[in-house]
Amino acid sequence: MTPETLGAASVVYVALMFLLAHAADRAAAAGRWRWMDRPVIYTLSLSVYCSAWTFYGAVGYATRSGLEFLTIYLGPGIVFAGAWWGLRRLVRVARLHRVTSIADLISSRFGKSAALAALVTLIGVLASTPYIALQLQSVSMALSAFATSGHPLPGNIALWVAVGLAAFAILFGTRNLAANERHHGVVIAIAVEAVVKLAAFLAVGAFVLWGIADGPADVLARIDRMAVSAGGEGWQIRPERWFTLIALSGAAVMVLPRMFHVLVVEASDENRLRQAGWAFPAYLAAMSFLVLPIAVVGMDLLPRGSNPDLYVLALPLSQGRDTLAALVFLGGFSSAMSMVVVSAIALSTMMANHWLVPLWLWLRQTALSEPAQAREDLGTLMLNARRLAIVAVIGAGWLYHRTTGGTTALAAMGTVAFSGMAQVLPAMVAGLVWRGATRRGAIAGIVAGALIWGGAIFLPSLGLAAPPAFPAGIDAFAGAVLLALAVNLLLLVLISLVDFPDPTERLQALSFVHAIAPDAAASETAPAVQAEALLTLAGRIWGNDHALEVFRKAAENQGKSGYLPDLTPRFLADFERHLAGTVGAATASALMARVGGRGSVTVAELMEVAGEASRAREDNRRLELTSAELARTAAMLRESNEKLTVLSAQKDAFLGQISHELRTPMTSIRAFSEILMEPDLPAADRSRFAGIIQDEAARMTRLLDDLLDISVLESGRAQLKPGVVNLHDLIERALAAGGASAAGRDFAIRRNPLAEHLPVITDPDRLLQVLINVISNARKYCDAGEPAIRIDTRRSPQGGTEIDIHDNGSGIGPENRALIFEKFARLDDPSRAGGAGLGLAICKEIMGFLGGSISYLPGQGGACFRIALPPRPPRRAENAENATG
Amino acid sequence: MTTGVDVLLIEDEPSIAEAVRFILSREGWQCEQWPEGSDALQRIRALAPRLVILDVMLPGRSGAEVLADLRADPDLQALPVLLLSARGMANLPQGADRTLAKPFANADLRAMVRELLDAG
Amino acid sequence: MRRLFLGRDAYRQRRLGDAIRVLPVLFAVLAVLPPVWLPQYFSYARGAVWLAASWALTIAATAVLHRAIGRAKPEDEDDA
Repeated sequence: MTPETLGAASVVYVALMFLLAHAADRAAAAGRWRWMDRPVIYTLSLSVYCSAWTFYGAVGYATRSGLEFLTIYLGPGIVFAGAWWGLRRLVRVARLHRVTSIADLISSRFGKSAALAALVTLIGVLASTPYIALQLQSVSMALSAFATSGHPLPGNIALWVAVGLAAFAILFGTRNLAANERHHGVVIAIAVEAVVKLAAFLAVGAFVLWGIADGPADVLARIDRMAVSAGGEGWQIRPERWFTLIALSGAAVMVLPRMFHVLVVEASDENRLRQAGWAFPAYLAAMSFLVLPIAVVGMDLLPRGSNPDLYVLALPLSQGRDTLAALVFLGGFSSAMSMVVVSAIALSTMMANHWLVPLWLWLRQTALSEPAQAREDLGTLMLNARRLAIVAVIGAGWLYHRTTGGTTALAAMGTVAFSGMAQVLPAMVAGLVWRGATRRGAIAGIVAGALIWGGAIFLPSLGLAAPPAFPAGIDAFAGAVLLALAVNLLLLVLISLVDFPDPTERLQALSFVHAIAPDAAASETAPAVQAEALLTLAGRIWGNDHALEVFRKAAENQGKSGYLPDLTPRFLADFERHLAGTVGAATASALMARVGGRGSVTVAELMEVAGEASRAREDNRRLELTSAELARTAAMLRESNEKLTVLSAQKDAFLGQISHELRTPMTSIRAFSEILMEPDLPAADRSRFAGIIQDEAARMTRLLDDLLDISVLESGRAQLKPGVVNLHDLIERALAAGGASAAGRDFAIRRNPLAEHLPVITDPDRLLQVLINVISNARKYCDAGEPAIRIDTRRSPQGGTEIDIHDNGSGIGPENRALIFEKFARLDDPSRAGGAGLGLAICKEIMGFLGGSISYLPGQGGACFRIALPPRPPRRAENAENATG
Repeated sequence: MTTGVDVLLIEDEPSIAEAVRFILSREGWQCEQWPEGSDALQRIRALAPRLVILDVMLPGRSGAEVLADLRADPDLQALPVLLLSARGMANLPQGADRTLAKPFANADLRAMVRELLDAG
Repeated sequence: MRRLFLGRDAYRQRRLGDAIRVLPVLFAVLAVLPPVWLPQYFSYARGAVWLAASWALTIAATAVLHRAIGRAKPEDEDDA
């Protein structure tokens, strides 16, 4: 087995992972994610904890320091034994606030502080860079184990590994900007890699345990022989290290960016912790206890001076088991790959949300809600920021590997990362259990802890500073960690005790500690914010469809129809949290402030909210439900009442309108027919007047047809004639019919003919009638200088069909949107007078008849009507033939 | 200051306007037309007709508004106005000299115009 | 409002919650105290067996308790 063959094998392996991740992403997009969304996938994805450090380094660690390597797995073991008690709380609070990363969690808890988020991100990046370098190094190091002498390895393996992994992370980690940071493809790939690395490690462990050694008893005997051997004193447990490392690894399993990502951000609900609580420790235990036989047998069998970090590969190779060694290589490659990919995704989210986007917002002080035609796509901007960050993170890892080039023991690099990220732990835990913990306290603690870590652990690990001198008998690493954490905690507590936090922070503290989602302060009204401006902002981040869906649901919950919910404090708070799920709490808060000049909370309002929140907690839950139900009904009633009031005013006008619409052609007909009776009329006049009579009679017929049509539709007596039709042909016909009646103006028609070729099952004549009506409406009323009509068609995920017809005019004002679908509703705007206002009313009736809907889409920078059809038209009881009697 | 215009017809429906103009011109009256409510008053001042025939439903400003403006204007308040209504004879604006419901008999139109012009 | 007295099922549920809370503390004591207290004694094979056994027991206990808490209907989680 040559390094080249293995290299080729790993390329094939990565390609398979690409395919797998791609398939999973597609399945998720098609809504077939459910069967993959199982607790076991979640549990397996947690195994990114076991990076290449575990795979290769743990054996080296055990060889040098004995049982101490177990501390790295005992810590998570303890934390997960309390999964249902502690971790569940963390997951619940984080999901409540739609937290995107560990930095976002800390920042959100401490008053959505942008500074804190940037600080935690900095620590994360600093601590992770050597750790990522380690993964890249492990791949080339492992390949070197296969190299025969005189056959040098290709030079830049680490670079190619870095490029490949960056491509993977970019492709599957930044595919789209979802409102929750979940990456199905990546998670599935990690789960499969978890199985590969476990299988590989079990195989090599079993081979060593029973194939080389004589079972567990023999291994235990070999361990006891260590006590008296030359290297044995290294195996002696040092109490302060034992304790410190268990605490560190317990912290690391929660706060390392990649662990927080799989543990909290990718969790679809807290319930899967029930399985992960025992299955993940079982996974860790299996991996870690098999390290012992490999370590002791390796020490006994392999020549002195061989690298203990490579015993996992060297043992099967020394026994001529090339295939096993190749499997082990793939296992090690898997652990490196999943660690790098998840770390890169987690860190890039942090860097983009907490460094790049705030910087961009600060540089550009424009209003974000302008629905300008040439608006930039914020979503793409954020995705590109993440892509850049992924390249930066992995690139930094590679550069680190390049410049140090060293082969320092793998374990040391891992503990450096652990101890760095652990500086976040006091703030996180205090933030979750103590309402009194404040932002200034957290910043002071983290900064002091991070500085001590930097000076006493990080720089010495780079060889840039000497490790600090502690009194004899105290280990330098354990001493530095304990000192940093102690100072960190002390500052956090002391400063919090004397501090007085601002109201936003106190609201967040209440929400995090009691795991409840409070409304924003009740009296916090921001009349400047229009729901439409928020919709535009949301559209720029999530894309229009998703934004419209979110707004429609919110409106529905308030009992309103359409796409614009009332701007209640609850809706605003929910919307901000939803936004935070994409860009982080601090940025979401800044965006809201930018769009609406959202007023800041005052202490008095805060106390009111807090009082309400605690009362609500005591209240019977049913009462809350009832009152929500009541509020919904009230909103519904209010809406229909508003409509009724306007309608009753129109009701009087209705008969007058019909009378007017009929009398007008009648007047011309009567006048001209009398004129025609006069004897001495020139022949040319005579025929012209006859023509006018004919036209006016036709106009009356049309009006009567429309009236009959709408009364038939309204009474439900219409006949549905379903058929299959190509939407493209229908739109062609509608445009041709509309073109014939268009007066003068040249309209640019923007279509995507390819996307229009959709077979639709519906009543084609009725749908055509709707299309003609809407298109001719746009032609009649679009007031743009260079008028244009855009037609978009698409299949909805539920199998229905949606047709959006936009124009670039000034659109329809909010006050008229509820009226345009009513009979004879003419808008006040003089340019819109004329023509019986029956068109849209008929469209609405027809669409209801076809089982679909027609609605006005706000916030599109012009008038836009969405025509939505179900997959197939409804069956009507009245229409069913009662042949059976 | 007369321009020789006898009747100014303010009516937005082109076919009705054509019918009325044809009927009146056969009687020898000079007739001009204006299709909307906005700027109707300026039009009246510019043409100085002897009679205004005013439709009730107009784009821009309604016939009722035009009539009210006209009666409030010291120069024009004495001008005779014939109102054309397509909504029957109920709820008509105040201030018109005569009102004719659409559709009307051509003879009635001629008679009313003659009466108003002779009186003026 | 927390009730003062609970029915049998709810009472069991509460005690299950207590057990789940004790578990990590117990395991932490088992994993940390002996090696710190008697490093000589726990540094080699005996330590490996001790840690393996106590971890295996903890995992088994967690699995049993987590299954039990899943079977019971989740009650009011006011005290979570």
